[in-house]
Amino acid sequence: MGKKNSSKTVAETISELSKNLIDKHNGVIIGQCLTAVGWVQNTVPKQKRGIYELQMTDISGAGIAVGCALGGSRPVLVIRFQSFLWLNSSPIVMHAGIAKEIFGYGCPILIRAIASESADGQGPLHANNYHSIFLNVPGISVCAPMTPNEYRKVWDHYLKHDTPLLVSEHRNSYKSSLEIKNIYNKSKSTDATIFAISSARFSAMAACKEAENLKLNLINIVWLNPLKFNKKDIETLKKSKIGLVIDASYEYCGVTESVAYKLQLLSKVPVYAMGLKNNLPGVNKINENGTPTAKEILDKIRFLIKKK
Amino acid sequence: MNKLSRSENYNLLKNIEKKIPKEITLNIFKKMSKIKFFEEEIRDAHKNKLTTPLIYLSLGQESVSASISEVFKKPFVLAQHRGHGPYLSFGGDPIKLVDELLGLKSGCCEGKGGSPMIHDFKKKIIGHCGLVGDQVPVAVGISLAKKNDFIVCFFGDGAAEEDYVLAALGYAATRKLKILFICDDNNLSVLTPINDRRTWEISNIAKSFGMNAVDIADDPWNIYYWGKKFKKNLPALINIRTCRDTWHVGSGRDKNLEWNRFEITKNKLKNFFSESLINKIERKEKNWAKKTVQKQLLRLSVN
Repeated sequence: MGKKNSSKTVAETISELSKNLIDKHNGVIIGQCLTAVGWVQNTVPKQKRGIYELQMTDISGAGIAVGCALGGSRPVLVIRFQSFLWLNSSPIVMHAGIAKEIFGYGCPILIRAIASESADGQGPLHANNYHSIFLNVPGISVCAPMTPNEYRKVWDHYLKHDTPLLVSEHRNSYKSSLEIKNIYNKSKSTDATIFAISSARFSAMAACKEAENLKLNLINIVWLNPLKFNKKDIETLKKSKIGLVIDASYEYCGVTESVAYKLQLLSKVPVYAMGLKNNLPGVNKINENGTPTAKEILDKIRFLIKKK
Repeated sequence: MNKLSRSENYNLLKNIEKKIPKEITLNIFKKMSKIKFFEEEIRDAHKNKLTTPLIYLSLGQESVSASISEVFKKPFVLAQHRGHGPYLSFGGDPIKLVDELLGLKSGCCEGKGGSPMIHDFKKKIIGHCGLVGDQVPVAVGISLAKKNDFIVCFFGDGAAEEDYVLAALGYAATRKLKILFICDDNNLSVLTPINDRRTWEISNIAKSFGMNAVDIADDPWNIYYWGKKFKKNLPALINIRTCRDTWHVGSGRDKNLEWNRFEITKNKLKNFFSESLINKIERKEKNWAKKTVQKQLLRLSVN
C-alpha cells in the first residue's frame, strides 16, 4: 500500500529534478514569486541561474514560457495556484497545445499547476483543482503524480517528448515520501474498487486501512490523458459490486464522471463518481469543500452498496 | 486624437531615400512587388472560391515587411494573422503557402491551419495561433531562450490593445531583449477605427517602458532607416501607419485606399532608376506570382 521507500519528499524531488533540468537539459523555471516566500513550498531550487521571475502578468507570462519552448529551451511554468490556470490557459491551450498538430513542430513545456485544500487557509480563490478542463482540449497531456517516483517518471516522459504536459500537483503530497501501490483484494468477489486520482489517493489509501467489514480494491490513476487501464484493473472491477472514481477536483462534468463512464462501459459494473461538491469552499474549516476524506469515501461506498 | 495623424507622409524624414543604398532599395521594391502580385493572384483565386474561405491579404501593406526584412537577415519572425507579407519577405516557401491556402496536405500546416496560421519553421518563421496578439509574448519567450538571435515581431493596431501584448512589451524592456516590435497600424480592428477604440499611441507606451520607438507612415526607406537605427539598441518598436486594401478577411474591398504606397514608391524610384528597370521588376514578379499560384491551382483541379 503506502511504502516509504524514498529518502526524499515529493517537494524535494521536484526541486532536485528542476535543478537537473537547468544543469543538463537547457531547462528554465518560469513563474511569479518563485524566489521568495519559501521558494514555492520548497519545490524550486534555491538559485538564480535558470530561474526567470515573471512580472505579475499571467497571460503574457504563460506566452513567454511557450516562446521559451519554441526557442529551444525546456521550460517549466510554475502556476502557484490552480485558480491561476484560468488566466494562464490561453497560450498553453491555443499555442502550445496546437503546435504539433497544426504546425508540425513541438512545443515542449511542462506546466506545474499546484492545487491545495481550502482548509489550509487558501479559501475559495486559491484552493481547488481544475485539471479536468485540460482534458477537454486536444494536444495536452495531463497527469497527477503524488509520489517521488511517479514524479521522476513524469519528468522522464517530459524529456522524451516535445509536447505540452500539465502536471496537476497537490500540496497534500509535498511532504510525503510514500510510494503508493495498488491494492488487489484476494477475495473472489469484492464490495468496491476505488479508482483514485490526485490527493484523493491519500484518503483512498486511508479508507482501505479503515474499511473494517468492506472488501476493497484500490487502483491509482496517475495519467489522466492519455488514460489507460490494464486488463487486471478491469477484471478486478468486474469482481466488485460497484466502482468509485475519486478525485480532488469538482465532480460535476469533471474527470471523475468521465472516467466512471469509461470504466462502466468497459466492465458493465456500475461505477460512480466522487469529487468536490458543486460549490466554492470557504476560508473557514466549517466551509471546507476539499478532497473527499476516508470517512466520506467509506460512507459513500456503504450507501451505494445498500442502494444497490 | 488628431485625425490628421494618418497621412502618407506622417512623421517621415525627408529625402532619406537618398541615404539608402540602391541595392537595398531595389530589393525592397522586388519584395513589395512579389507580395502585391502574389496577393492579387490569391485574391482572384479566393473570388473564384478556389481557396479556403478565411483569407487575410497583405495587399496595401507590402512595404512594411519588405523593408524590415532588408534590415534583419534570418531573424526569428512572428507575424500576425495577416502574415502572407512577412512570410514571403523573410523567405518562406511560397509553394507551401499556396498549398496551405488551397487546403492541401502539402501546405505548411498540412491544409489544417489556413491563411492566419502559416509558418516555415526551418526559416524561423513561427506559426500564429489565431488569437489576437498571442505572438507577442511568444516572441519575448523565444528571445529569452535565444539571446543571440534577433526577433522581429509583427502585430496589428488591434493587438496593441491586448493586455498581454502590453505586458510582454514591458518584460522585453526589462530584460533588454533583442526584439524589434512592428505595429502594422492599418487603423482598423476588423472595421472599427482606432479613434473609436482608444486615445493613446502604442509608440508612447513603448517609450514609457524605456525602449526606443517611433511612429511613421509606411514609406519603405523610412522603415528601413529606423529599423537599421534601432537594431543597435533593442528592444524597440516602430508603429507603421499603413492602408489595408481588402476586407479584414476575404477578397472584397470597401473603398479606395487612403494612399497607395506601392504607386508612391514606384514614382519615387523613378528618381534613381530607369522606368524600364522598374517595369522589368514588376513584370518579373507578376509572372512569378502567376506561375506559382496557377501551377498549384492546377494541382487542385487534379486532386
